[in-house]
This record gives sequence, structure tokens and C-alpha cells, in this order.
Amino acid sequence: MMNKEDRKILRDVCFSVFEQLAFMFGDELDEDDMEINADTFLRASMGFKGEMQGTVSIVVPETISTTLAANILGLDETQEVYKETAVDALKELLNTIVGRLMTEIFGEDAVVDLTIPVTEVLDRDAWDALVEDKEYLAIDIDDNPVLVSLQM
Amino acid sequence: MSFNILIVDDSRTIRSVIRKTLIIAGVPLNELYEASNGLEGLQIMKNNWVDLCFADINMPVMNGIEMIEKMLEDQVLAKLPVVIVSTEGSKTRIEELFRKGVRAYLRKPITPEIVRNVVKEVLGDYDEQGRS
Repeated sequence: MMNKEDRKILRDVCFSVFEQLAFMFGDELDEDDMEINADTFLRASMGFKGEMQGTVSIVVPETISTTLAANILGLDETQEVYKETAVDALKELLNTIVGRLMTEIFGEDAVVDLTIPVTEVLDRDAWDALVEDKEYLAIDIDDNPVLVSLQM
Repeated sequence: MSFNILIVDDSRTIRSVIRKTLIIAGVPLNELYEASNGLEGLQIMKNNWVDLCFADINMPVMNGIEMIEKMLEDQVLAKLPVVIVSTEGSKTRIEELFRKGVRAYLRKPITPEIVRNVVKEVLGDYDEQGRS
């Protein structure tokens, strides 16, 4: 399970990357704020191997990935975001998070090899199970719950 | 004078962001080529004149480091300036890339100002398109 320091680093890196890459803002999340009206979620995961090895994952409501893609690409409200574009944007967000995270945790001298990000669609039951999973940290992004995990 | 620029990144989103950033930065573009991995990038470089290549490191099929190593084996491609655009922050890896001839290293996310400066640094000053 993530220790307190790693949880803080992961949260701060996520907030910073969401803000810099997609102009979306993060905040702490209380358990009471986990309510969400969504049935479909996307999980992106990426492995790393260096001094230590592990996996970083992020799980978002599908609507968040659409907003994410629109913001990164600078699309206006009239422009459609295709599903594959939203998936690609989530992968790139995770890629950026992991790059920053590796430097924060292992330092600038460490060499860490990263895998290519992979994604999967999750249903509501899977989301509810992850909310209870202590390996996942819940954060708030633009008033939506998002789950992130760092497993080493 | 306008430039032929190649963007090598497996993320369509990032290729689009770099393309838009080049346009916003006023870089005069002739041809803008895109490839989703190092192998595709090499094929484009061999078949077309490219002035500058922006490349990611972590890609499927052939990553950015392997692509640069292949470029060094070719007399013409060895001289083609490469700018790495990546999320990685390892000093050790960045130093290794500079030893292989990489001209600049940009850490994502990038801004038009950073792109403008690096293009001017690598290709020399230019008249910005769409600007007086």
C-alpha cells in the first residue's frame, strides 16, 4: 500500500499535470464527495522499471476524458471529441504524470524505463470496488472524483 | 524561408499539440510530417527532406533513442537536428541523448514560446509567419 509520503507526491503531481496540461484543477476529496452520476469509466495504466518497478494507474469517469481531450487540444464546445481522441488524451496525461512522478520519487539521476500506457473501460461495479480499494487515492478534478494509484 | 518538420510521437494528441504550437509560435512551415514511432519516422526522413525532427522517447515498435541510433548510422540523417519532447526528467538519460547528438530536450507540457526559442536556436532566426 502507498505510504503517506508517496500519496502526497502522487496527489501533488496529479494536480500539477492536470493544471498545466489541461487547465483542470485539483482539490482534496472527502469520502462524502465520492458520489457520481456515471456508468462508464476509463482506466489507464503504465508500468515502470528502474531502481524499483511498479505500475501507476488513473481511473476517470468517461466524461472527464472528453473534457481532458478538448482542453489539451484547445477544442471549443461545438467540436466533437471522438472516443479514441479521449482515450489518447488520457494516456498522454498518465504518461506525463508518470514522468514527473519518477523524478519526484527516484530523483533526477535515476534512469527508469516506462512501458506504453494501456487503457480499459470499467463499469460502475468496477469503479465502486476501486473506491473501496486502499491502493487507490481519490482526488477531486473540476468537481469530479478521480482515482489514482502507485503500486511498487 | 520555410521549414520541413517531422513530429514523431505515438500520441496523436501530442502530435496535434506540437503542430498547433508550431503554428502559434509563427514557425514558417513548408511540410509538416507526422509519424507514430521511430521506424515510421526513419522512413519519412529517408524519403523526404526534413529540416528538424521533434521526437518522443517512449514509443512502441521503435523508441526515440533507437531511432536516433539508426540515424547516426546514416551519413545524411546523422546531421538532421533532433529535439526530444518527453515527460522524462532523468538527467542521466538526457545527458546520454545529448552525447548522441540531440540538439535540445523539451519536457512536456511545452509552450509556443519554448518551441519558438528552440527552433530559432537550432535552425537560426526566421521571420515569424502571420506576424509583422
